[in-house]
Amino acid sequence: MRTSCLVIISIVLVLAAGGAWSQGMSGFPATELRAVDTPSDGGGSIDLEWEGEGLQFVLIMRATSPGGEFETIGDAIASDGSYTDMRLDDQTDYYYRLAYPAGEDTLLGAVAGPAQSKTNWFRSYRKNALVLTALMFILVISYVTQARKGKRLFIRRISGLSAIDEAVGRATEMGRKILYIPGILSLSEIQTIASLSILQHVSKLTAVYGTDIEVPNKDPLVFSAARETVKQAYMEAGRPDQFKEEMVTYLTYDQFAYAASVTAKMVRERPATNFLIGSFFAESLILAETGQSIGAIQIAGTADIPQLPFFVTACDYTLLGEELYAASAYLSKEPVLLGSIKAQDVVKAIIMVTVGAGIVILAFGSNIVRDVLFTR
Amino acid sequence: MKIQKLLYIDRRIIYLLVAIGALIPIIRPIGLPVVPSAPVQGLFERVEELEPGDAVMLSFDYGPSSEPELNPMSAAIMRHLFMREVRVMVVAIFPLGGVQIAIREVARITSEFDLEYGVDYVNLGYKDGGQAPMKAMGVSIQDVFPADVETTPTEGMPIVEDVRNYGDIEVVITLATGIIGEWWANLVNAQFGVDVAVGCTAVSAPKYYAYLRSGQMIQRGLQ
Amino acid sequence: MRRTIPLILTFCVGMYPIFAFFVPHRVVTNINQNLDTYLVIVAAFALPLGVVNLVMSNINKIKKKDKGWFYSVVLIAGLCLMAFYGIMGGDQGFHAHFQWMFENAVSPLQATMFSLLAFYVASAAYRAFRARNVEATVLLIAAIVVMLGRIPIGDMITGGRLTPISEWLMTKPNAAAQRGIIIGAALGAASMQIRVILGIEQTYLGSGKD
Repeated sequence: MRTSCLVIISIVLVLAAGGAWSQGMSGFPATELRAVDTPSDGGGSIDLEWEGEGLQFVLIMRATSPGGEFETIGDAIASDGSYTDMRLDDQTDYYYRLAYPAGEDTLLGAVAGPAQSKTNWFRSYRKNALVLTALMFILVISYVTQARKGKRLFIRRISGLSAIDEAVGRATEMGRKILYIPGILSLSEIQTIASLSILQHVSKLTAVYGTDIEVPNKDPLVFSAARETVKQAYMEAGRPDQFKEEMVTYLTYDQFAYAASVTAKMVRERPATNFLIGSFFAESLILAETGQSIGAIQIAGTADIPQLPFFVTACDYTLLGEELYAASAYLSKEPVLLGSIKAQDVVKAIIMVTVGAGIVILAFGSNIVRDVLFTR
Repeated sequence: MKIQKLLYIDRRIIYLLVAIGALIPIIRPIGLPVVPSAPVQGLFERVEELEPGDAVMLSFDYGPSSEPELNPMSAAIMRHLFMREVRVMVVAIFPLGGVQIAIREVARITSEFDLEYGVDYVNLGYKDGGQAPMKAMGVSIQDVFPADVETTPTEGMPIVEDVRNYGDIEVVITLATGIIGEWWANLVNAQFGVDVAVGCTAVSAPKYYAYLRSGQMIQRGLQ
Repeated sequence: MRRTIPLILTFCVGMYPIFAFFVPHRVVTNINQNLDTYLVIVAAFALPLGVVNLVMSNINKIKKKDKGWFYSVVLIAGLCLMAFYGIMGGDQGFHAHFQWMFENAVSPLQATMFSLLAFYVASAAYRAFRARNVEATVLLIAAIVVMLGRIPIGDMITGGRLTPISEWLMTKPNAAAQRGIIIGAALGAASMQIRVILGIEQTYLGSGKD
């Protein structure tokens, strides 16, 4: 055992001496190689750093023992000074050295290591995101608590949401149905959840007025959630007998087949009111223009920015981005929900001030705010 | 009075004008020169910077509805990549038709070059779940695609063995409709730091400028 | 209980990806990936629910001989045919007949629907751009510059002089406005997500109060 230790130490010393000699040779472009575990990652990688100059290519070599066979795993430009080796097993010793092909000879650098890759517990480069997330949670909870204690919170008038009653009333007067389109994405999309909140409010109104409503769906999960939502709304309105399963239907998973089916419904059945609320893509204008052509009153809402101009042009009212998310709080007027809107506004104000300050500071040549905010 | 009339043209007349405008170049091609825009030029230059043997992921994230707009982009990009001897991993995230288009277009373009399947390129096919496989490929592409589009195991394929995750990929190019392009930018660029380029339909272009300007996306695609 | 258990589940499943966003440890990321996989599985289970509803409602239409009942027959026949050859073709749907139907039916039908957009965009743009006031006139001018700056015929007419202006409009005012809406909408979405995770927002759970 003692003998083998001595042999290993000797080999290391000889190699180190050889490396030092190699580095001492003129023309070796990279020195002081260091190998450390890549910080803040899930493991499996080691960062290499060295001092280097010039645009020469250096070869990166790796072995699992200092005296073992070094294999070339990649190359880098000497002046880059860094390389990340990402094909590793955790808790294994790795040794590295650089090599520089100079003519027919290959000059070898000193061996660095051992280094082990390991899986880490925190992504330190996301500290800023953590602070903002925590702040958002704290603000929501604190404003909700204040609201529960009875503090009055103000929310501005959102005309698109205020028009819902009028739109339902119009359909009732005309004796025609209401078409509610909850977007084309699934329940994992938060816009769809927001849309279901509005659907509940609309369904309660249709239950009270006895107006016919139809909710055609593209996504099967949304279909079942929408059916439950409408059913619940009719129960809460005290009209469970008026709820019919045909009110909420499933059409197809195909975007344009869905658009074709819904527009056909619009043309055939001429609903008095169309709600287009949720996540929409290229079908948005097909739906909204058809609705416009049949003279329906249309209320749209989406946070999908490319679709907003289409809705603004073709619909009577449009909920723009965040207005959609504020809908459930606005419609229910529940203080607890309003509290979260207030928290959102505070964070927005903080971001606006920070961005404003960042622009001014950047104009004076300092990147400090940008660096603090940068994350990935 | 005439101006007043112009303000209230029947929509059917507008439809007719659009139809005439679309039909004329189809019946009698005008042959106008196509000038690449700055974002397109940027993507071209990014591909030019790639070394032979570098890996690029090409994602077919569109369906038949967008084929007329996006097929020429996919063809041009594939030709450019193969001319540069860049290795290409093809995937499809769009559920309806993305993989069928990928099969056809990849076969069409690769037939123009002397390429070896599994070494120079691979078609990994479709994976359901949208953002889920995108995230999982950050750890291991082979775990997400244990078999290719022809259900051949990817184990042992040199390109799949060599390109393990986003760390081994230089650029992800997505030809995308809907929200998928944003997923690539928000998830793959933001969380894994790999360059993302998107070729999109004209209607989606404005939203990508915000990502382009913020450096979350290298360039928009082709004109 | 009908609400409490889903709310607890929502809290746990909602908080976990936030936790995993900050913690790269393999144990944590593996569980997070499994959660993503479960989402796909749950969605797959929901699909038959939708298909059953679709088939039932169309069978009812056929039975009652409702107006347009023949289209329901076409729908069910198409559904069965595509599903049959899709299953026959294995997990990537390679059966020759499936591919043929895709190329010759699905593809042209989808392209037709999408190309309708050109007509709808034209009529919507016509309404929006009618220069009735200052804002609409500004919109009209900007639209003309952007459109001409991005198409070959525009380059030919203006000798490419509008291209940089068009690019400026897209990369500066357009991108700035987009970002403003993106930030607002992202904060709205974050606030909504916190409401859902904390159980303040419960509409999506539908019926069944404690």
